Amino acid sequence: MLEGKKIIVTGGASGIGRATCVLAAREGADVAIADINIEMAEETAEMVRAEGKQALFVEMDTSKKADALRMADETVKAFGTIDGLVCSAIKMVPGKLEELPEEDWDMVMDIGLKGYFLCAQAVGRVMLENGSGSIVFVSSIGGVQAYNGAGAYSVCKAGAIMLGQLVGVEWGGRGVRGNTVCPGQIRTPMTEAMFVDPEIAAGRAAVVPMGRVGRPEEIAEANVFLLSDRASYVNADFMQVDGGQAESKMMHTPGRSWGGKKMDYNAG
Amino acid sequence: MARFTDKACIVTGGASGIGAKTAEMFVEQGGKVLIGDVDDTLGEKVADEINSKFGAGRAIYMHFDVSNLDDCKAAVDRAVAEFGGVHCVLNSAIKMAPGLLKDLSLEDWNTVVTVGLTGTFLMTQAAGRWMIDNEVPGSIVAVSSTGGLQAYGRAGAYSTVKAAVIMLAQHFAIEWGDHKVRVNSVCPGHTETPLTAYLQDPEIKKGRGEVTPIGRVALPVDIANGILFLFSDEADYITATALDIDGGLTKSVMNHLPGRKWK
Repeated sequence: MLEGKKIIVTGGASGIGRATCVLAAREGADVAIADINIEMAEETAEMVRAEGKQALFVEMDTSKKADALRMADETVKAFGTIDGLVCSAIKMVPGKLEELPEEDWDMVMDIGLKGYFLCAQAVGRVMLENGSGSIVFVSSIGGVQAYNGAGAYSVCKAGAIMLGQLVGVEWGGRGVRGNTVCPGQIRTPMTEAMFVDPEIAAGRAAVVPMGRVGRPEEIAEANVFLLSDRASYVNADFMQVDGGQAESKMMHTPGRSWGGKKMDYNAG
Repeated sequence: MARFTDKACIVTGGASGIGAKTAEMFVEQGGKVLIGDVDDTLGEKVADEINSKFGAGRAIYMHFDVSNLDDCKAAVDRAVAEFGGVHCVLNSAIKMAPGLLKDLSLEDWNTVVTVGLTGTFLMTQAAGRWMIDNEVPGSIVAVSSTGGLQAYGRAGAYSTVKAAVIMLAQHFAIEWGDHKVRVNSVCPGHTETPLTAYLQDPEIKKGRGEVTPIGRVALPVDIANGILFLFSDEADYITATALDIDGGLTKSVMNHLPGRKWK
């Protein structure tokens, strides 16, 4: 699907980012892994090489403009060009709004929103020159529905959706598509501390119409589709990959259902 | 001058619930209403109560079926004859035919589509034609639902019809903007009405309240307030929109994770 393409993945050291690197390589792409975590990024690079493709590690902080520019430069130097960018770098800093410190807000926004902008701009300039490219932002269903207790996360992720639309609208006419993927609850190193608790894991699974949380590989599939030419007319869109969770609010009414029975959606 | 002085409103499904409350408040705020329904006993009662509260001749009940084109035209003719015109329309008539999609009969599907969607089309078209022909600015509101934004399991065709109602209102709105006929929809959350008699069950009511960020189910007055705002001149620049009146329910899916919270 990505034969011969050169792809950058920010936050590629782990979780959804790593799964995207591996799948992109399996589908034929050379992959630049942009991350702040050297050790895990090197592991991802090995996984890419194991798929028979070239891997490049770019150590960077996505919230720094100089780093974003260097990421684009190093990738062009190593691979000759850039065909696709997946932004997935994020840091979780949970907290209640009434108590959230300014630096926690800034931390999430700098990495998760400003970082997406800086990386898209740096890479987008190369793509616009080429007249082709695909940019995919990893948002969240928390960007569609407020995620209580998660600090700036929801606002940051809503911003990412709009930024994806903006990229698609400003650059679509010049061959560069912009889209966003909204994962639901995915078990990754970032969320492992949460899912390792059996009660939390069971609760998170129960709330999803499909009855389970997702795997990073399932998000990678959506990212790779949007990177590929098979999505050549998909632009300025956001795709929910969440087992139906974001649309499932009407399932979560406590107490007896209408008719005196609790609905079993999965019966029969 | 009151908010709706010299204004006349047709309310479909006006014999109960959101329709009846809106009719009453429209009159309370200076207007006159033609209440349409297929339940004559209740419809007459609502009209009588309004008239005894706010003065004779302010509310008229008329039997009409929104899924019948001639009935809708007759309703407009009656409002024009009695009140001199039609300025507002509330499409709130609906019939519930719950069921799992797997088992839903064509008859139940058609019932909900015919009353809820076709009825909204016919009534809006009939009233809008009069407004356009007579160059009278108007405001039309369709009652959708939070179930029109997120699938309402087990409710048969309801969610699909309510989603379509939002689009129908938008479609009328963009075609009629030039004629100063505004068309919008409202999306109520869980609301206590005769249609939702299950909310009389304390356990169900408690559950529906808990699931709503504001912590309670809605009363018809909550929804009527939003509808009357859209009817009023305060909403003069609002058309083709869908207003959620749901205490935050539609956006609250992340509130509903069972089990302990992550610290």
